[in-house]
Amino acid sequence: MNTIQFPQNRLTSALLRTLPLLGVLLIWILLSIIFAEIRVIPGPFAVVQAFIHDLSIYGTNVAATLSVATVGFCIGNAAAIILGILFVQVTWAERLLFRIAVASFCVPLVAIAPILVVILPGDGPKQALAALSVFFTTLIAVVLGLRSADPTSIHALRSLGCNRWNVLVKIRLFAMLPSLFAGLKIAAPAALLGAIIGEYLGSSQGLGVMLVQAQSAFQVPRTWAVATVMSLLAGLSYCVFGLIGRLATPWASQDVTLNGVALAPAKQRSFLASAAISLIGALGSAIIVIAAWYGLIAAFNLNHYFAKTPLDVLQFVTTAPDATGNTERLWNGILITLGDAALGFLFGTIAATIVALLIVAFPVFERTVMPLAIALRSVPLVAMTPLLALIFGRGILGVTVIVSIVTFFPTLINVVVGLRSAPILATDVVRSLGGSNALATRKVRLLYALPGFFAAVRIAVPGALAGATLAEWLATGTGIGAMLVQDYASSRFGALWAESVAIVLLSALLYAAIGLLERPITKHFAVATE
Amino acid sequence: MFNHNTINMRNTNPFVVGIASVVAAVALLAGCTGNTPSSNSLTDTTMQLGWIANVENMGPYVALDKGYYKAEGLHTTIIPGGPSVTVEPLVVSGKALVGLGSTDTVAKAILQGAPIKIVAASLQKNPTSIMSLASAPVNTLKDMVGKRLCIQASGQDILKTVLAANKIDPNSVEFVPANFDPSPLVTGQCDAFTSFLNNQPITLAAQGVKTKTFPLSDYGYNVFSDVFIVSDSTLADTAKRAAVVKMISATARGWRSALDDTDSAASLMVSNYGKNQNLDLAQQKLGAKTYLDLVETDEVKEHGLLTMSDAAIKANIATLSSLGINITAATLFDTSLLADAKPVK
Repeated sequence: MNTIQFPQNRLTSALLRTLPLLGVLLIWILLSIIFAEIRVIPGPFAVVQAFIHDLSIYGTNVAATLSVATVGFCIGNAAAIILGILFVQVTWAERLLFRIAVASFCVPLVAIAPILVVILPGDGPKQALAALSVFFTTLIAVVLGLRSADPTSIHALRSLGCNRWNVLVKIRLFAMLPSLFAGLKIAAPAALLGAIIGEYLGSSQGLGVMLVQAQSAFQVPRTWAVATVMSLLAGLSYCVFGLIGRLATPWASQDVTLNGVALAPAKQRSFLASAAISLIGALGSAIIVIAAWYGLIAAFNLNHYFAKTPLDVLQFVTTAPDATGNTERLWNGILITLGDAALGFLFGTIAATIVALLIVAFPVFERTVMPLAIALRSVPLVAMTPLLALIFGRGILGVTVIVSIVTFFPTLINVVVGLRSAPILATDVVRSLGGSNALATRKVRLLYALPGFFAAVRIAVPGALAGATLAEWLATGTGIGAMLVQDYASSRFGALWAESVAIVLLSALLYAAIGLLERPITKHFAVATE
Repeated sequence: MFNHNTINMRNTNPFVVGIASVVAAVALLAGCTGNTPSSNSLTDTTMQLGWIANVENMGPYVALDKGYYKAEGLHTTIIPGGPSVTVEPLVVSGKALVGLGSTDTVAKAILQGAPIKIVAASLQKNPTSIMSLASAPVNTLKDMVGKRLCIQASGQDILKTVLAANKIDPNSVEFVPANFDPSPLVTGQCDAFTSFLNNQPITLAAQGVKTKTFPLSDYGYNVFSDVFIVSDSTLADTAKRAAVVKMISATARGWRSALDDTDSAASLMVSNYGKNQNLDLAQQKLGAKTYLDLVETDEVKEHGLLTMSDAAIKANIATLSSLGINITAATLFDTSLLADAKPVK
């Protein structure tokens, strides 16, 4: 990761490093004094005290959570890398399976948790949740990286008689690395969060268990201490993968090629032909999902009362005694959730893009914002919502904040990486001609950030839907998110599955819509620069 | 970072610990359901709790510690629950022989086709309570009119019907989504908080927050809590049914010992089964005492711990019916296992 830094001596550099931290500490102390009355913001001293008091138990609990997160991280990322390569190499695999990957990102926890705990032994369900929380973001990173390979070199190799797999080994895999490591930086804190949420399913140890115990007993300093440890671990894992990425890909942003990279494969077809291909692909995806769905139920002999079939879902909205009522309730829920997600998506994306621009312009900004962004994404929203609702309320603002928290971090990372992927030579050209850093950003970096931006949006759209259901469950009590939890509590699994299918279909549709927007936009800008 | 060797407390069998660390896909292919192979001719049994390990579950843990399960010929594993626990599916699938849950959830699941039954009841009185700050107390159900009530999404249906049954318009109370964290009550995001945890007022008092509490059982919400859930297929299998009977006997003995010396039970939870949470001993001791009245009622003194007397079952069915859950006693309960178990008074 290359930052454009102004020359600094060691002292100012050290000062700039510690200043943001000191600022955060100062604000924290002030808040804890001002809001001492309401008891939910403990001072740093109380938190440190709580941490020291529990020092003897952190070892076991951190080890438990880390081991689950690590296994999930490895499985999820390995699957994403393998599948990403397959998608780029075999176009039809992408057409059939990409939608299913999107679905994996926002399939509601209450729908899959009962199945995961039944079919997987031991820590399996927790590991699976950790794996699921990294799979999609890494997949996007891998596909983007593989497609960012220089087309001139690919053409050259192909003309020499190399096949797709030679191109993969000789060019694409190397081109993938910078993007992959950006993906892994997003994945590392996400795996930790997935493991913690997994511990909410029931566990005898782990940071998630500590958090649940502390919160139910209103031990606020302990709650903050556990949350701080979670954030530090997440931050550490982020730094480790940042470092590995920098060491492993020293050439990143050193090349000077300009090409319109997009996630979607670069094929030119008539509108009718591409529509037909999309339709066949969508049908194929549906057949695979339905077959896998039935297969899973049959393979594990899952009981029909909680494992509903696609036919059950269809009947729920068509022929069931109250099908009309069911459908109406579903539509109402979808509309609320869609509204919640849309606002949060817009706000989160705009905020993350602005912050990303600030970070690239003023690298010192990164040290202030990044720790905060990681902290917000490493503590479960279940735990944070009472405080967020207190500050932002439970209305539109509160929901928007919660959804933004889900989408902000991945968007920020992808856009920053995109902005920085501009070759130093290209930005230097602008600056040697007397252009400012801001001009370099406007003329060159924004262009390079476009693929990263679209990758971010592709992740943020299903992310916003998932975030909206969380906000509805935890803060507002309306929309699909609240319906899912209420139906789960009443064992109304028919309704629950219909709602899950609705959320998944919605995300796949929105995802497809972004794909339609991306190609013409990236193409337009790529051509304009040639 | 790649720590695969962390010892998993709940699986004593190294084979299972090994599997837990292996790729999930392997498990999928193998069709492994996590059954622990038999050891030392003891019958392997698993109990799935609904909440994390603390004094709420001291009965089973004392039974485990004192070897009551072993004395019955059982090798019992107790698995803690959590906020997102899924007890009924675990019981139906056979991964847990016995699960602890709430009566109304089980009743709703059965009506949706879950092949399960309730065979014993830990808490004779329901601990669900309405908690408010002592500085702004909500003393009765009527007091809630015009107030904001923090409640889990899952508890809303129940509370609405309890209100309606007491001739209070459910719409006159504003429901605010909350979970197990009582901070929305303390910070004034709501006026009252629905607590499912019996010891929550005590833990709050320890943090300097004084509360007022009244139980919903005062307003006709009379259903057992922490009930023993088993699957119909377990009941149909002679050997498995016998194991459940033994689990009931041993757990009842565990509760007896725990109630006789709540301080020791609290110490056990703090020093052993809940040690990863660094529980506060004084709070756990106080909390443990609150279970005396819930677990040991007059009916228990007559019929034994974990009992489900005819009168209590009638009250349960009547409550469920008032909640709009119409189920017969025979569909929901199976008292024959209690009859076969050794009564512990």
